[in-house]
Formats: sequence, structure tokens, C-alpha cells
Amino acid sequence: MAVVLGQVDEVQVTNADGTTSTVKLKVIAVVGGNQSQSEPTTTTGGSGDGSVS
Amino acid sequence: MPNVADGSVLGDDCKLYYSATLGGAGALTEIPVVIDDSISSERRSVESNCRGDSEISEHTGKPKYTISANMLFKRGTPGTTYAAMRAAYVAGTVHHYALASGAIADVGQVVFRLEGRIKSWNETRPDNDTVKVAIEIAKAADNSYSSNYSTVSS
Repeated sequence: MAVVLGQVDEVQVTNADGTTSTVKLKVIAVVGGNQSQSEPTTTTGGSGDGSVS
Repeated sequence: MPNVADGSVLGDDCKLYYSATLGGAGALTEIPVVIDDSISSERRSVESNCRGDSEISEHTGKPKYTISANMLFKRGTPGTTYAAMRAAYVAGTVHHYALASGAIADVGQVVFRLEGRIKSWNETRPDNDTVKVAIEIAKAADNSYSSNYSTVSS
């Protein structure tokens, strides 16, 4: 889910003491995108670089 | 709502919240720090070592962040949040986490939000009433929510 700078989320909060409140959270910096680390491509076979002598 | 205290540093006197609803708009529940006040301060080594002890790490070369934190629970009656966190760790459940320095209702409070899994669960039960659980929360690769810093506007 894309998060946009300036986006405001209104969120209900339940505190540890049981009290509740509603806060508005305004995004001021996005540090992570929709990123995922892909595995490096692997290949099988091939001719190689020749022998080492 | 009061304004946040001047000089507040994210990670100090932290409060960690979670939501099983992903996307940033779900209701947050505070993960409590529960201390048995009937225990003399001499035996509160666990509390002094981990109250407010939390950090956000940026992994250079990888656009990934993690949250390291310590949760404190009362032995014998750790509560529903303990059970929920442990179940999430065991099952690899992705939760929405929000880390604030102090009360999240304070205007101007900076909150770091991330959706991820609890990757490590290091539970210790030293010689007092407190159960200390050191956790690391890492961004879930199969989750598309962008980690972000937010500020409490009202």
C-alpha cells in the first residue's frame, strides 16, 4: 500500500490503562517503499571460463 | 491534547503499539510495560535495563528498517497482549506497529510505523516478577505498506 506524504490516518488507540483516544497521524517522511529483495538470478549449465592451470 | 515535550527523541521512553489491521488506519493497542510495584526497587534490574530502551535501525544498502524493543510483562499473569504477541511470533503474523516516544496522543509526537513480523523473541525470566522479552520486528517482504514517520497532528 502506497503511503503518501501528508496523508492523514485517523486512528483509535487503546492505551495500556484501558483508556482510549483518537489521534490523527500525518505522514512526514516515507522511508520504505513497496520494496522487496529479489533473489539473484541463478543459472545452471554454461560453458564456464575454461580450466585453470 | 497536550503538546509533546520539547527535546523528545524517538526511541526514548518509548511506547509501542500494534494493530492486527494492516494499512495504517486500524485501531492501535499499546503493548504494556507491566511492573509489579510491590517488588523493591533493588530487584528491578530488568526494569531499569529496558524501560524506554528501543531503537530503529536502518540497514545500509537495503531500504529496510527494523524495530528493536523490550517488552515487560508480569510473571504469572502476562496478559492478553503477551499472548497476542507470542502467537504472532510463532505464526509469523504480520502486524502494523507504531513506535512513539511517550504518549501517542501528544500533539507533535513523532511516530514510526512499520508493518512486519517479529523475527526474534528472546524471553528471560530473571529473579524477580518481571518477564522481559526482547524482540526485533522486521519489515515483511510480502507486505506493501511503506514504512514511515508520522506526526500527531491532533
